[in-house]
Amino acid sequence: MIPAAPWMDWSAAALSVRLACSCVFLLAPLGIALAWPLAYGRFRGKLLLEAVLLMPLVLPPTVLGFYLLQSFGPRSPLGKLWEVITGGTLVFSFSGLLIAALLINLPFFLQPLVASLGGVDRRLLEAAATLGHGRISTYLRVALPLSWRGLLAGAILAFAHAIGEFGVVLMVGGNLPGRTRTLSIALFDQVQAFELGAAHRTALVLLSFAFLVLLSTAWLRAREPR
Amino acid sequence: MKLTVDVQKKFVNGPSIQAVLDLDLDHFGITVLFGPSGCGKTTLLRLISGLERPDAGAICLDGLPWSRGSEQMPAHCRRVGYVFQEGALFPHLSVGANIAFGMGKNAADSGRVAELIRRVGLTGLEQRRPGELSGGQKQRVALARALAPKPKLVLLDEPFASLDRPAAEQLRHELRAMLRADGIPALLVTHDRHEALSLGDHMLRMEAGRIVQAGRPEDVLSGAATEQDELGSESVARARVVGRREGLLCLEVGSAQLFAPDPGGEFGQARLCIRSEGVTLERQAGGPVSSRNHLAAKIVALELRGALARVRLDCGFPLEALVTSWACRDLGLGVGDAVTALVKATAIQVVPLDEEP
Repeated sequence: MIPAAPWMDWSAAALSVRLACSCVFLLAPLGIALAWPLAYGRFRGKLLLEAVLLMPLVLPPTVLGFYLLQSFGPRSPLGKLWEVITGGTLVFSFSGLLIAALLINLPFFLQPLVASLGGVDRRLLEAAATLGHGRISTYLRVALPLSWRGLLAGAILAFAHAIGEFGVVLMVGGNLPGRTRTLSIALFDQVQAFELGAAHRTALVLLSFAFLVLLSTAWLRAREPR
Repeated sequence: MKLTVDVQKKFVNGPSIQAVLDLDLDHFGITVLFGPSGCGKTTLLRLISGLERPDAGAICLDGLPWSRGSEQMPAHCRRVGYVFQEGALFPHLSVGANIAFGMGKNAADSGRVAELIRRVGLTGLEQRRPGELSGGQKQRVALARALAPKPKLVLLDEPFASLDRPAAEQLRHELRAMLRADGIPALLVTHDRHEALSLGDHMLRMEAGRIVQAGRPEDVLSGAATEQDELGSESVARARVVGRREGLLCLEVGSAQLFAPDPGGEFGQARLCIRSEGVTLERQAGGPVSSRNHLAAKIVALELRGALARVRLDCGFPLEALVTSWACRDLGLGVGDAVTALVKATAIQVVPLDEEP
């Protein structure tokens, strides 16, 4: 007799949530630092920087995954360095998965934040300057607080996308239960194993979650005061 | 300290600015930058504050360059306060936090914020957000915020433009008192003659990006064409209040005395604006007329312009009359002639001054 499939792959769900939380936690300082030059900077190569940072939006995840796999491998400089420092490998590990998730989710975090920052009244930034505040202080005390909706929308989008990412995770992390098997990969497994009941439940959870996320970001944008 | 400005700035779709001016920063005083909309007044303020870079020229404070070639002192290092047209208050901060924004942590605790809030009459509203304030209250906060860090100079860009007349009137008095209390010199941009006359100690008149005239407001504005009418003009003179009678003020202007409508309020000094079309000329003093003011005058210059003539008079102070050319011929007026100028009291506008500027 075939053993009944569990109601849900709880370890995969826990891993997905852990990955998404760590990802957003690390993205916040990185994204806040990168959003400034994108929103207000005037320098050569700004378009290039924009293109590179936003690339994961259009790049097939497997392509990014392939290059990450290459650069994380135990024979690559990065992989060797990582092994010297931590004693483990980057590929097929949670750390590798997290680095991949950071890269691929950065544009989801950045886009709403940069749009919000761009909408801040320039006179407010000028007023802060005439009151003795330099660029960094003006950014942190005026521009960023006034863009909190964009910041929150970016965080939600990145979180949601990190929960559901499939291609890069499969390429870099493989499918190790409890270590790199996330919900969307569990769904793939369930379908492969014809556990359609479990697959339905997993899919429905991911679907409702995505719907809630889009609803909340749309609500945030609609309330942006301008 | 002396701020010397000699800058040029070109815009693709705007006027090109070429301005030269000096500002004394040691003493309190309001310099009015006066001119029509679009003549480059705001740009000049932005250049001085460091929000805009000049294309050429220099801005120096006692020889220390704020702006010269590639040397640009950033705006946040210049200690120049700026009051924007519509306040530009930080919407996410309370009134108190807005005012304290430009002060260091220690200075903000020292009670200056509370004192400024009291001085602008907003006690009790410290915790309000800018969105909950009226236009006049917002501008008061903006003013207090700009003065809080004790800047070397305050730049005011039409700070009353968005307010209705009574609110603007009241804030004008407060502005002068606030600046005087801290001894902070100010450069005020306006295109409103009344505002310029009631606040200015000194005036720079700007036209098409250049400063074309500098001097006391009454001297700069006297005889300048009014905005409504190119031909009609106003004579502006300083006056001292010597008495009040039947709702009229008795004023001493130079060696002459004039009656004019009383705008109300306590003041001993004023500037008068006399519309040239309200001045009538007479060869000899005749019978009784309705004009309250009869002044002995001498014609200094005569300018015929088609059907109308501008007659410049000396009656103890400079005065202009706008009469018909026909009347000029009839009376046989010529330069050097002695005449009597009749000035309708209602053609005189009195602009009270808060104190001896």
